[in-house]
Amino acid sequence: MPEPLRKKKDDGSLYTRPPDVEASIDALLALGRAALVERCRITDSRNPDYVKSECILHFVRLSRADNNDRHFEELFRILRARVQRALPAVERFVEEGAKASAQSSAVQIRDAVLFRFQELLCLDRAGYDERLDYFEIKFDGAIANLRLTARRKAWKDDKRSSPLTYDDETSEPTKEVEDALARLHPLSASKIDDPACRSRLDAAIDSLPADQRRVIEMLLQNFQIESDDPEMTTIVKVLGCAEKTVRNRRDRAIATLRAALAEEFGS
Amino acid sequence: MTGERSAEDVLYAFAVEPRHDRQTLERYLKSYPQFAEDLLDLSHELRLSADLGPADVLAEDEASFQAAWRQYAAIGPQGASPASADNLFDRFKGRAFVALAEALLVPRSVLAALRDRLVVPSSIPQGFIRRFAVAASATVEAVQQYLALPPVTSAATSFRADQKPVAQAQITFEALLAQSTLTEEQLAALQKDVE
Repeated sequence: MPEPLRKKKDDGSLYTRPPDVEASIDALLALGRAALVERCRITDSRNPDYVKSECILHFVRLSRADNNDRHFEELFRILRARVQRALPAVERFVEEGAKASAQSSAVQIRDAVLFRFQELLCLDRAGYDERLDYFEIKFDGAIANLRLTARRKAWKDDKRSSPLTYDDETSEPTKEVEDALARLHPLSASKIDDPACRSRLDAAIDSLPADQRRVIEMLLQNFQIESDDPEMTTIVKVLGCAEKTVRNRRDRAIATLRAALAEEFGS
Repeated sequence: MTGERSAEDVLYAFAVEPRHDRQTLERYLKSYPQFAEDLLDLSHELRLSADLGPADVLAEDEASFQAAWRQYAAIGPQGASPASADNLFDRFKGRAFVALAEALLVPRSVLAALRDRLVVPSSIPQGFIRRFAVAASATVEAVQQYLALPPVTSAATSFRADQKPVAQAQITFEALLAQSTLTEEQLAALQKDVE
């Protein structure tokens, strides 16, 4: 059995790895070092011998108590490639005109994520950093969190540079926008089940200003804008702004998304 | 759930939930309303990574891989006693000293000036001190304490016959870098420290 994780949950109990990760680590521990590295080199996740990133991280963390640097250098190299693979390929799904800037920002985000991940690895080797436990539970999720941290600075910079050209409290939602919303809704729009369309929609949502993106995120998760039921979690309540503001942000977002996805939605 | 956890902790906990559906998001929004915007941003990030598929892995250039690996390997496995302000450089002599300079992406002359405390402590960027602490398996406090001690008169200087051994005056970190020849990689790493 691999060494238990040390990170505690809110209720004081310890986090545990998912059973498939535990079982896979157990099986891999029985392999020789060379065979382990060979298995970790497999990049096709459909291959039955593919090793999950959670497991590779576990083996790299074992270097805390082991001096065999040649062995760990190989695993360390594979792990860094896995960090990159865990980042979403946003740039692949943006419009032609935005590709160059999306690519350069993808490279910046990748470097920042690698930098932060390296910091965590080093702290873990010097002591034990419980934050890496999260990466042994769900690697891609934890990397998504690092990616968010890496992007915050960019968002702050954006906010400073873009002038406020609109007023949240003006303009009424139009019929056209309401229709678009209905089609945007993942449950009512069959088109969104098409993975290619969904990816383009995600990429377009990704480039929205933060306040609009948050409204869309809540709509996609089926939250209502407002409700008479005081117990209900609504967008108005969570974001702490007026209903009209929420609607206006939604309308502006949908107008942008429609333009970005003109092909799918028809113009 | 309590509201006392740090934002970082809450976001990681949300990130590793088995499902990221409405119920999970709602539970977190209710428990941690103070982090609502962060949770929504993360929810979006998680959707991206689930829907978009893995990024193309551009082969990492060997130099930056090696720099990362050297930094990691220089820490040494646990069991080595953590460095303190008194013995910070004891483990970094000869080749280990060279490896530490490489891991920090600074010329050896810069590391030597830091070792001999010839740099005004307050002029050293926090980011660099953090990197230093990580690379030397020391705490940030230990590094700061070490750098705050008086300058060292090096043995080499004190035995030189033609001059009186005096402690050199401290210079700023910026002035030290200005005197040094830095590669582009080193410059970029140092610029990151001040961001």
